[in-house]
Amino acid sequence: MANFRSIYKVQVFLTILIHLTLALYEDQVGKFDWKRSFVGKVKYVSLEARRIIVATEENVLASLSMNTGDIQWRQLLEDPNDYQIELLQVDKEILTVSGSHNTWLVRTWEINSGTLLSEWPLNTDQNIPSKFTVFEKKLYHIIPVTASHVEVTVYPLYDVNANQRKGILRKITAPWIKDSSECVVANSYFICLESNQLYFLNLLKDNADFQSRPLDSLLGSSLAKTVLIELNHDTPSVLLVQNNIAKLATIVENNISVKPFDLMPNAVKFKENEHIYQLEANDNRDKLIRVKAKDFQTGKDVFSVDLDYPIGLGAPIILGGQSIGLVTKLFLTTTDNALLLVHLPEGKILWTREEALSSIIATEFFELPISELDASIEHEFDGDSDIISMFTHRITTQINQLYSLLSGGQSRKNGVMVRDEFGLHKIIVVATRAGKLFAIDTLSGSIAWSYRLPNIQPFLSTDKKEEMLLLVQRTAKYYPLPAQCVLLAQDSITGLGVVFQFDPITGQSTKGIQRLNYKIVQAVLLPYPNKNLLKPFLVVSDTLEVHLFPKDSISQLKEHFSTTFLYIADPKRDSLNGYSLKYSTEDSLKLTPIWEVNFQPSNLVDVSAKPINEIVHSQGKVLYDRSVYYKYVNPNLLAVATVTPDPNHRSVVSVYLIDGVTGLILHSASHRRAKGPIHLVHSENWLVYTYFNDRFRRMEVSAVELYEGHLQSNSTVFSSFAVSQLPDIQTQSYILPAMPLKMTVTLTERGVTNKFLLIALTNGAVIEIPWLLLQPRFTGMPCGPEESCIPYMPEIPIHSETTINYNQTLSRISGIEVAPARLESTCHVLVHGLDIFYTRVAPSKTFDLLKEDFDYRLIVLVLVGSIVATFVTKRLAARKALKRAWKIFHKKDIDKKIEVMRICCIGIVK
Amino acid sequence: MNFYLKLFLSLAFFLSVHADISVEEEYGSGRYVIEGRVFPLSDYQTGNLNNWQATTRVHVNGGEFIGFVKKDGSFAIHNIPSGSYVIEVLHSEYTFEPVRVEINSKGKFRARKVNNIQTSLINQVPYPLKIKALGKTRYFQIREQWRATDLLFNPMIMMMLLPVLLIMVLPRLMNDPETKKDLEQIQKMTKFEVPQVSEVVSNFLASNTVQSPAKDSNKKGQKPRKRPVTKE
Repeated sequence: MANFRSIYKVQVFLTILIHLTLALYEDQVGKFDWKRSFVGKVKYVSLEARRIIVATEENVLASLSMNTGDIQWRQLLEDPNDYQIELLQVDKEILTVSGSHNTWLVRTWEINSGTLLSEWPLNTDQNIPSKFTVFEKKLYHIIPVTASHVEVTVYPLYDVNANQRKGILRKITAPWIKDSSECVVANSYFICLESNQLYFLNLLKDNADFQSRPLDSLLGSSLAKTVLIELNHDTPSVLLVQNNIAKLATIVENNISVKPFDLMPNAVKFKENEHIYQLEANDNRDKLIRVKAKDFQTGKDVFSVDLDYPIGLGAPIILGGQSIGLVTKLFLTTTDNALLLVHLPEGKILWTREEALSSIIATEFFELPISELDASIEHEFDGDSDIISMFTHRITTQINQLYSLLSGGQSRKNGVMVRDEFGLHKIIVVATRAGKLFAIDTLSGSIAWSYRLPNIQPFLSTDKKEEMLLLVQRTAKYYPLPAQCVLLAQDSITGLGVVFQFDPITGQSTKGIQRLNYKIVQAVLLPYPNKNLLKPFLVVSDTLEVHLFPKDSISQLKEHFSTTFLYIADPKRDSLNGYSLKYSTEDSLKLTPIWEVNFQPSNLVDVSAKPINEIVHSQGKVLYDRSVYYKYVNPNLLAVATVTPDPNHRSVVSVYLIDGVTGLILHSASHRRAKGPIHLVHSENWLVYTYFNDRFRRMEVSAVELYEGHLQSNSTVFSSFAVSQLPDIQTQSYILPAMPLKMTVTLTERGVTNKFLLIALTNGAVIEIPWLLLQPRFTGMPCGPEESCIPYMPEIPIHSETTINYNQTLSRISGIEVAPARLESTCHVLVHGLDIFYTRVAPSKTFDLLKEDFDYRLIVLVLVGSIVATFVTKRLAARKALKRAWKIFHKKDIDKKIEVMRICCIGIVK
Repeated sequence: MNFYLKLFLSLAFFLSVHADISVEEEYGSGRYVIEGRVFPLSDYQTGNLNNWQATTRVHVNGGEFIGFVKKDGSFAIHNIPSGSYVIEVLHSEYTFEPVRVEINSKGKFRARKVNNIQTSLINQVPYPLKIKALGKTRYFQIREQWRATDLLFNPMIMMMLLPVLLIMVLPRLMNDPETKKDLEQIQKMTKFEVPQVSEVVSNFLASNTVQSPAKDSNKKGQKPRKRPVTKE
């Protein structure tokens, strides 16, 4: 939360800051932002009266509405990488057991609101995967100790003082046991399958031992691999799966027996219902999935229903269900993590949730194509038509354009998405961990299309970060050529490369999924478009072979062999290697190593290059003596962060700036007694990074800025080889009174707008901090508003007003993506994680757009008023002038008369 | 900002349920429990937030350990090894001050305020923690209110008022013979050097006096607004 004390401290500078920080107005809420919430891949489910309680692999407990699938409440437990929910039991209240290895937390929750009712820890000495079950208000914790015994600890659940809760431990010898993966819990029995023997143990009896039956006597043959699957039933029962055929084994009075009928391995049963449900593939192309209900005792088909299964979803499995009278509801999940609720007997899908979106790996923003109407004007010179038809064609299209303009916008016409004037309407293509691509409309947040790629998974990059690559080969600018994008990932089984080319606007792919026969270590988009305006890309395999896609664009590349450089970060060897294509020929592309930086014994944590589409508008900074200090803008610069374990300083964080072409280390800095998480933001001529200072136990953020000096070496082209002197480097560090999760910087079309850092914090807020606040101050330079410089403050103030997502807390943020709009002031922002939040930020306010509270009525009123006033005054003035003229005339007239009279009088006197 | 904060604090009427003093528990594995209680603002301030417990979370070191708030506002975070931790209470509508809790290897607890700048400064707070809401979190700027002066100083209103002023007030001034003389003089002195606006004014004033045809042609290229005035 915002640190109010720091606000107090910088109150003096608040006046300056007001121009830099800008908050939303309350009435802007939801005008251009939207949020979607997810729960993740569901692990356990329980269907209740009007809600569905789910526990997911994201370590989330949530309640979904039965009718709509909306999240009613959601509780996030600890980090899912370390802790997992292992038990979900819903009775009057919800009971969860979550944790890992030997520390567990047993929690009970209120069902309506999700409030915590009780919590107690459960610690064991054994650090082994274990199982939990609840039976007759007692919690059973079963730990199989390899080749020794099974420990069963029974804890009373209710009516116990939390401090006096003690488990009753019982050890049962089981020298045959290996691990818990071969065992299941079926009702009150613990059943294991080990070396063709089926062992089962009654948990309820205090002195019971394992009993065993050879598998041959149950199934007839034991040659094929058999797998145990648990089945929920009052009679303890399991499924024995062999060669994809399941047999039902039940335990009655300590005797196990197998039912004589076959089942599918996905067969499921749930309480208060006597049917077994299973899903089968269907030949009908419209209804791909069939639900079959079988009788538990006889195995006879009771009924079967064909489902209206949506196309594009993966293969489903039943997670849970509920029967009330004739109506049965089945809760399904799919291989691409979608959730469905099926209503039987109609076989209708009540709702679908795309939970794959809870784990976005890669994103890319796409401009929409121009509308068909605008495009049709391009057809004017298409055929060999004569002048008259060309003329009529032009006139009709222009009339149509005028008509659509007058009838109010064409961006939503016929549901087709077309480009708007300011580039505010875009499409976001996201690739998810489940291997599903989605296109999301920025205006509404709705899914425009989705595409499932079976058996793909992300690469593992430095610091175990998951990565997929989305490369934009062609944007929608080049009508009539469609936009083209390519996704690079790896096969989930073999780890070989997967290339998928598609049109990001429609989601259609001409080539389909291409599976490569090598692993991908690096891929790079080349800036040389071929004759189809398609940018080719290079893929480097693990044996350092280079492959060009598409192959025919070699003619464009061959001119640039000597100026094409690549780098590969190797997280295993903690090294950074630079390669050149210099010695390649047209027939064989060859990587020549030119430099290597080995960081060992440090661990390579992060490598950050600048955004490719970034434009540096201002070439220098004006100093107080009005001289220009030129920026060192090196597009090839890489920022590298490493963490070194150190006996004296615990761990040391080092940051390097390395030229990606020559391998020259331009700058390095290290922080002793510091540790991660490290976040790098690299833009223009500066780098910002955060680390945790272990000595003072606080987050710190450092800024590095590079300058060429008072002279610019080459104002047009930058060359990494033309090094005359190292850049002048300014650094400064600050305290960040919050824990950052992710950090990025805003990006605008021309780079004129100020830069803002966007920082996602652990408290669920995404805040914006102006770069000006972090920019290293020049020593001896006066600081004031004139120099657009804020005096140095050791602690960066975090105001609640700078939260771009206001009170919409975002959970487990895994990335912030930015893209420029065509409006210079505006930048698209997509924050993803367990929630997806999209908004637009304008770091220098929307200076190129009229404010939304601009009063059109007033200006029209004033204008009309002025015109009316002009005419009225004109008339009035004219009348006045006329009156005056008459007055003068009368005066003259009288004067004349007097003169005449005087003459007359004189005459008379004479 | 600070003023508002104080205002909130002074207005804040806290639930006066007393925290039951819980005994520090030690577990065999050297893991401890951090306990405390969250006090929201009173009901008349919170409005419709009757279910704040479900949406409040307690983060230890930014989510390394997590605590949930029970119905009575108390929380307990289990399985914490000895060390130094920052406890934050998170709620989307309220701001809470973070607290640093230190647990030494013997299991002694000490709680103090978080000070990032002077890290050695100890400002102790009672343990078990009593964390009170500082106030409602302000996420939004307040739109400027409509005020009469705003309207008056609006450039467009000024634009409308100025001609009115010129029409109504200046003819009155002109009736005064002395000013008339002065203006005439100014006009003569600054025949060509005058900036446009003053020229317009003086021309307008001069329109009632004798005008040379040469000056008339001089003014042709200027704004049409003054034309009805200058026309004879």
